[in-house]
Amino acid sequence: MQTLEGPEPVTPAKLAPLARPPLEAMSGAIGPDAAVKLHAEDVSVLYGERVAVRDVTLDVPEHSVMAFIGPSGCGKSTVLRCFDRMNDLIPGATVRGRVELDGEDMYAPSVLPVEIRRKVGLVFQRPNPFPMSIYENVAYGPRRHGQKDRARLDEVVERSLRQAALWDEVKDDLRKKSGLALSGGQQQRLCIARTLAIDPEVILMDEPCSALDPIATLKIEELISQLKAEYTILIVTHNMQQAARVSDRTAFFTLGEDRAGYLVELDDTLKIFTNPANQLTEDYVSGRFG
Amino acid sequence: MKRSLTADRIATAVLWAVAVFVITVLVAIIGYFLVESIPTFSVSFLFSDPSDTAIGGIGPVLWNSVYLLVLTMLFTVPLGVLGGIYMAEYAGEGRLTEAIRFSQELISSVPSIVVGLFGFALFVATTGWGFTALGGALTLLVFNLPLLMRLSEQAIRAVPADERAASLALGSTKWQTIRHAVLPVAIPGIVTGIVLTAGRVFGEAAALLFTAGLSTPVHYDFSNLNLLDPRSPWSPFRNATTLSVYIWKSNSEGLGDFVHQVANMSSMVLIVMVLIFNLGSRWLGGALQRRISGL
Repeated sequence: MQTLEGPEPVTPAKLAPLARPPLEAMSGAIGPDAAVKLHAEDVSVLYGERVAVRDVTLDVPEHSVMAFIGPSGCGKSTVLRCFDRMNDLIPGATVRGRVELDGEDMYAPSVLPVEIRRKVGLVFQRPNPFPMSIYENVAYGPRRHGQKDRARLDEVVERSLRQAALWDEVKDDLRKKSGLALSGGQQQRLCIARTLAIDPEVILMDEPCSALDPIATLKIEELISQLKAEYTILIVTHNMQQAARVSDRTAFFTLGEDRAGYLVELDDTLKIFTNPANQLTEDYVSGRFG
Repeated sequence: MKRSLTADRIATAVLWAVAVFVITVLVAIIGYFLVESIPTFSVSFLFSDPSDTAIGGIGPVLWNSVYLLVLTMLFTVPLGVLGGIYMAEYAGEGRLTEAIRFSQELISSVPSIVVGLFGFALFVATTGWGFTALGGALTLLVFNLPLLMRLSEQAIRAVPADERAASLALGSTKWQTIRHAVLPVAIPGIVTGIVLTAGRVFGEAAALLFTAGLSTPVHYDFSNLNLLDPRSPWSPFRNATTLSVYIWKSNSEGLGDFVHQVANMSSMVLIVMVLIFNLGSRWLGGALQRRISGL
């Protein structure tokens, strides 16, 4: 992917005029029998006194990809970060309502955020590898969780890098090369590998491709499609084609009159993009708004 | 248009003039002592004993400077770095934090002679130790701790929030995050802070006059390893006149013409050492940065 030659790559901007992505690109719907992995009920997030997102209720089925779409500032990322308690780190942020992982209350007083974050990984918007070798980046999580055995660590690092489709590109200088010396797309795959190394059940992705070029974006999207066999994935994206390409279900958020974000509609991705129930969703996915 | 161009030229000229002035002063100081001291300077000056009747040497006082530096940094580095971690990572906005910041600023602006008097009252008189290296080191701790704390805090705060978040998102605890994600990145900045502080300790005189003492040391017997024997050069409970104090002393006591030469050569040694500390801190910080980030 470093050797970009030939015709100019297709940019998201060029894709944008397509009001609707081709139907065949969309994934199938999830059956009603799938187990619920994540559940949010009447979840509101406040920053101080201000309500950022209100009354979100949604279920994420196991081994599926759900996309969060909506205009900037509608609270998609805020909702996403309720599922690994990263909002706890923001001073003044409070989460109301109930958030469950496998039917268990994530915010119960007896639950430590550290435990949740070992089961729920987060991939950030901008690739943020540690300024360490590739190997140490991937081994970081397992080491913190107490893994000291070198052979086991080697194994985890190789498996995670293979899963993240980065192994072949980096296997020769795992320990020599810094994570920061990789290209943007490789860095983001390294961050995904780093997350996979802690063996999570859920992976949250906060606009993982917004800092990447289209080729790198495609690689990440392919990766997401492969990972959903083993993981439950939630992805925030500004790119509707991306939501359509990678997700099984799509949640559309927008800003209410009260300046608080809320969930407008949640349905199978195919339905959201072809025949949404709500006019606001229709306007957004057809490009008339946002 | 013409006016703004003129203003631009004037600004450029003024800023250049200021820069040239600063460099000239530095070069003049170093040059003065170099020219003054080179004719009589020899390597043996660095290692031989002082004398009241001839030029002698600065061996013992140079040893004391290094000794006091190590002793002071032994206290200052752990406290300063831990304090910096506390201020950057744990201190919230509150009265305690405000009180600490206020104290930091206040101590930094107190003249060192005043800190020296405080050290005299506490570490010399109250403790009954008399003039000791330990008393001097603790006095230097008093006014270098706030500096190192602030430099460490700045280095830690400069670590991108992204890296903290990445570590926490991988299920690390707060301390693991500080230890394994934040500190490795902050270390070059912290080391720079440590070396700068060390340079200040090395050059300090006023705070040591009434704490570590200013008697001309006699010959040191380095085979005496008894730490409680005030004659042992290894003991913290002894009079320890440092190089900078010795410069002040030899200039203020008119024993003969040769003392000016002693003061000049000592000053040159001191300036060169402080210069090495400052250049060394930049080099070391940069080298650590490259090593840690692997770029």
